[in-house]
Amino acid sequence: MKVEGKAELLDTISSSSEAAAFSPRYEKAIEIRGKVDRSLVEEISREKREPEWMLRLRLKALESYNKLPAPNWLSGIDELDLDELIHYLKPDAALARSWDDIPEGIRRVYESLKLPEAEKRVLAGISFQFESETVYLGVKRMLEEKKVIMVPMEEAVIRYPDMVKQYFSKVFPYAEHKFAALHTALWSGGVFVYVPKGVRIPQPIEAFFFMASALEGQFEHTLLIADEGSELQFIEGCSAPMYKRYSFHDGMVEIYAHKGSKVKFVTLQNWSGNVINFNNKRAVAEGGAYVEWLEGSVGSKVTYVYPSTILKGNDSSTSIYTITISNGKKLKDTGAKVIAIGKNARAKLVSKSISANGGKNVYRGLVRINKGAMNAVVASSCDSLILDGSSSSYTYPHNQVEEDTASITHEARTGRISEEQLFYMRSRGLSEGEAKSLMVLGFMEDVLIDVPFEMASVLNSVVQLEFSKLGGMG
Amino acid sequence: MLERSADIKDVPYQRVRDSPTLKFYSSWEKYESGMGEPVGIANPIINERMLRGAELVELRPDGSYRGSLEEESPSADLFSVTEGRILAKHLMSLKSSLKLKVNDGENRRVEIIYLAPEAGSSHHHIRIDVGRGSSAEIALISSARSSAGVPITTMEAFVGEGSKLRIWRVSVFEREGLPISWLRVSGRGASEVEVRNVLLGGGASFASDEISLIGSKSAAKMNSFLMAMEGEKVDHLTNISNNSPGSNASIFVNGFNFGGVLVHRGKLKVTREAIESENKLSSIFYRIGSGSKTYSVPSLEVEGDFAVSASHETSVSPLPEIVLFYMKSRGLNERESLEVMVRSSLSKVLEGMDGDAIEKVISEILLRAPSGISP
Repeated sequence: MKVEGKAELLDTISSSSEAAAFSPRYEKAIEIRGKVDRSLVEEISREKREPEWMLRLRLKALESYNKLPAPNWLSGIDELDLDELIHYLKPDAALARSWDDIPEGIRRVYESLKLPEAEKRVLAGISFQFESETVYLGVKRMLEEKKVIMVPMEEAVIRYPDMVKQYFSKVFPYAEHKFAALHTALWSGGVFVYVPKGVRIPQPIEAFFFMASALEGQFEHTLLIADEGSELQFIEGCSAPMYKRYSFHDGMVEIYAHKGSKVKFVTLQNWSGNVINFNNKRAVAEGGAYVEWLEGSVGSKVTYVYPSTILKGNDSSTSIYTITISNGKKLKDTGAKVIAIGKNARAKLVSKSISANGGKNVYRGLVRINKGAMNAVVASSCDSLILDGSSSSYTYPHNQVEEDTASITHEARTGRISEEQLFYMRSRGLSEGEAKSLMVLGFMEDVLIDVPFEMASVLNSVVQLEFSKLGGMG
Repeated sequence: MLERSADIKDVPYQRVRDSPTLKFYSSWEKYESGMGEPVGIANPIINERMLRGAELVELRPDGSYRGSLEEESPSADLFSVTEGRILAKHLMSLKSSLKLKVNDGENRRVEIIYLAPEAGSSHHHIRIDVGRGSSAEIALISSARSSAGVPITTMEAFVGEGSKLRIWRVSVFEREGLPISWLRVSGRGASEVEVRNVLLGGGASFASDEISLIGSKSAAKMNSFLMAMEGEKVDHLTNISNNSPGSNASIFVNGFNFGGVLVHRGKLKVTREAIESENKLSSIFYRIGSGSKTYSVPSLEVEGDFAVSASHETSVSPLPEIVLFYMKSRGLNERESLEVMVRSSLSKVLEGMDGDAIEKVISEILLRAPSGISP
């Protein structure tokens, strides 16, 4: 699977930093804020004109949210006060299928992100969420001809209730932890994609999420279903302006990969530096299916994300690549999880983290081989680079093997840039900043080799952008 | 600190802060249900002395002891009742603390035999003070046949500058036994601390080793051999907190799982003080037979870019085909191949102990191992 139009994707990514620099002007249609309780959930559901079954699901999730304890493994979210947040913010903009139909203030965000060009040249489809609602949906004729369904999540609830009921909150049950429950109770926006049997989409589909307000909660839900033998690539991007106060993101991605399908999910998270980012991501792979996660986590103040794959079917496989950068007083609490159930499951987990200027990176991994997952093979590696004395790295991999024929390996290394390396590069005429940027890219090289060239280039550029602050490569 | 009268039911079994979905691996409920007044003395599996020429100390289930240690009123500097419920119950059940003092420049070798109760729990706490420029070798031997008892030990050691402390813990139990042992060591500058474990069987055996290095150019080394059969569980925890400049910290754990449960959690914490230090944690687990469960959690915490190296690695797999093929091509059958592997793994752990006793431990292992070892 190749991604076409590297240059346009690069533009989109690099522009997300520019978009974060200004706060768009727009009219608000509905704003729901305050204590998370039954009446608030009912109000959101009412505004969305949802069927009764979805409201019931929300209320059950709310019940779980109230019962579940606050996770004691979290840190860095002391300022998070859910009661002061806007949980649902609908801009005064109807869902548009043409750029011209979007209010000017919002359209400017789009244009600064260079999404129209990307859509035109690279993407098979694009969904743009502004605050709590999808405001633009572009679906190319090719998708319609192949009977691919791509609609906002709310529309899927109305038009495809049977499919939504079958998968929504089934891949990632809301009762698993407090923030998953909160998400399901308050979800709004996101995209639903169904790829029919045997359909391969050569170009990626992108969803872009923008938070324009401080003290806002965004809870989009993305549900991807790849039917037997189909192929899908999905790119997720995000951005927000910098405010004095924080914003909160608690999204969810559920992927169901049916037999023999291939799904590639790429996230380039570049929230502004005051976003508390929580993302719940899980895939189920049926027999012979392949799921690939590429999690590039660059922005935000605090991020918690652990892409996970359940290898349910025989001969299913997954690769999970995570690249995290904590530059400054940031915390990236990320990781990868694999649960093998079917026979002959294969998984590869690769994590690269870079900590600089007081940044902290945490890796939490889980490799679980259930009894009966015969001949499962999992290899995971976790490399960390610490660029100075004030930064740190923490690695907590859990390996649980309950099948006799399985083999797993895990290795991790935490390294630094040595004085000798710096001296060598400076003697070749590079400044210290340039040398460090180059070494960061060298550190990431082996993971970039494993991903498609076009994606590697995109990530390469993101890293260069971030580390240009150290001086040099940007 | 909780008062003795405090209700320790409010203390959790274990305070876990390392995962969103995992609780704990240890069988705390099982231990708690087995605790109570000690009954009888179980037959030990190892009757031989393991440290030739060492002073002998015998710990008895009723809290009494025989040997050359000093007895003090119960106290523990490196343990707190607020850490976990089982530890709290243990500390509150202590009748005394035993003290082993190694004076400056002195060398001592002590073998501690812990006689387990047939049922109920027994409680002992040992404090070891190793003075400057001295050395100590301590062997804690605990074994029991047909015992459903919960023998619990806490050991805390303070190692002075330029001193060496080596501790062996040999724990051999049948599938009813529930031994628990906590060890905490504080090593000062230029000290060398080495902890070696042989942990075999038990319905649930828990052995926790934690070393904190302070001062410069210290070294901490842990080397453990674990083995569990069907119906047995060995739960091992190895942590090193390295605060020592120019130090070396290493943890190695080798496990053979014959259908039981093996748990290893290890953490290497490398603080900003540990400049130019080298740190490594590795574990290898082989699964032989069927129905085994192996859990490995090798953690690494590194603060700042001061350490020369910090790494961890683990693998869980059946016996490698290539190893078996090599051995078979040398004329060894499966049984003999297993013996070679066990001897190889144990030799470094038991090095320095009495040869006859080592043979006794190896015999016990081979006696328990099933005849076929093909993966």
